Amino acid sequence: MKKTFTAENSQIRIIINEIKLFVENLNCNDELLNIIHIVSDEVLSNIIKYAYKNPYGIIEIECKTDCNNCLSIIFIDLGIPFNPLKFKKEDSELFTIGMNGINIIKEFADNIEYVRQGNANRLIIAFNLSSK
Amino acid sequence: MFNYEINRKENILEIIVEGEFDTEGAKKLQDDLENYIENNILSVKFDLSKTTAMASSGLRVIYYAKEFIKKDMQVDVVGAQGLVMKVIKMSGMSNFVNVV
Repeated sequence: MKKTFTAENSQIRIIINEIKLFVENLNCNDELLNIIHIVSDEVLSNIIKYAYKNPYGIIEIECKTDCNNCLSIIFIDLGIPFNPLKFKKEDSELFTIGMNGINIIKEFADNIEYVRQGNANRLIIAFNLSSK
Repeated sequence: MFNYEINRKENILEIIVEGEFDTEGAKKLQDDLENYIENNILSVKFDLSKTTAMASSGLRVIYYAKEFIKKDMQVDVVGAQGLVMKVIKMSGMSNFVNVV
């Protein structure tokens, strides 16, 4: 599945529903669907909030599985460079609103890769379907 | 599917959140909660027993209730389980609201 959307808040649920539709066809359990919902919500809201200076940019989504039973969701935007992997997972002793979204992504994804490719941010979030 | 219900019993607000407490849902609920600012509310209880997932935007609404409806108001979070409880624990939010 590969689709392009405008980067605006009204698109978040629409994009998540497209991703979940793809994942539902893989016969995943409800917990994984919920995890994918919140991880996608965090990534998309970050892109919409911070990537573009001018409305409206684009978000491209690609979902695919490989032979190792791994699901990859690729989020592509053409905004300012942003590598979430550069942010360390924070100690949860202190509640810090801004960091929680990135912490949630790191906690629930099995693997995260970031590539700056030309003028695009490519964030690849992977879930191992065998362990779910 | 996200849904919520706000019940006011005298000076106490009970907020029941169902489904995915995500960015879109959190925005709707927070907009609604603005009607209760300085409205003689003494405490807020979030019932998350029917919440299936929570993003950081959901955490932000609870923080909003604590800080903006009335400063240092008592906020209880009840019924959270599984994935939702995991998000609450990792956020550190349980250090400043009462998670039951």
